[in-house]
Amino acid sequence: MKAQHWKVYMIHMTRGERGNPMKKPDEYSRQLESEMKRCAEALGAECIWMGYLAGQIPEDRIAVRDLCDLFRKIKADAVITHWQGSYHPRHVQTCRAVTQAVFRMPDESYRTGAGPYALPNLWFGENMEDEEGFVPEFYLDSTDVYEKWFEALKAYQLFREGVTGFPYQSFYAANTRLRGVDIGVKYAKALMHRKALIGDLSIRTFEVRLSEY
Amino acid sequence: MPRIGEREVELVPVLAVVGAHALDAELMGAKQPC
Repeated sequence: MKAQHWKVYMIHMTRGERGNPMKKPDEYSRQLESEMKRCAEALGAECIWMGYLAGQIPEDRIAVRDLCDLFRKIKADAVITHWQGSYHPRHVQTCRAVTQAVFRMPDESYRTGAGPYALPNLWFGENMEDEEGFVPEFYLDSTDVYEKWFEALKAYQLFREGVTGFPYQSFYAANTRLRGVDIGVKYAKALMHRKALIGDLSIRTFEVRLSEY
Repeated sequence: MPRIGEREVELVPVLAVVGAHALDAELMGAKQPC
């Protein structure tokens, strides 16, 4: 999307500092702050950490307000987050909070520091931990930016070195190629809507752009 | 100038990508979920 001249924010609920079995959270949190910034910069995006500690995303009431306020401040026209069908509890929690925050954005009676903003389109990306019930519905041809994207992900030690033994590189290389095969290009990323909410969503800017991509 | 398809537009659309965490192998390798 950055290549299509969108302003892109990469927003992290937590830093994931408990996620490296080889390092203590204090040490790994500093490393992640540097890695997430380098990854975003390599993609031409801006990185924002919501300030929550790993495993401590607050209850929905608080997380929804924080996210809604941020979305209003940055004037988000489209939002992509985790699909709900995940085995990772924080991915599920993030999906739920982001979905509620998005729908609160135009609500004048829902007060945050920033004023109401038009309802953005909400999309769910494909993630190796969130595959339960994920159905690819829309595709973004990422062929032209694939190498840049994959190199940017290597800012993360866990992705670059595979120290946990989990095949991040293999999954995302194969997944991106597979989605490319789906639509007859070399590489692509898949997105989906939450079907039950389509009727409530304003299908506007983002979908128009997808059709013209 | 940003483009939508073939059209040039004056405003820059904004995309927010929200993840639970930067990169996290917390649940991998039979580690205890938190």
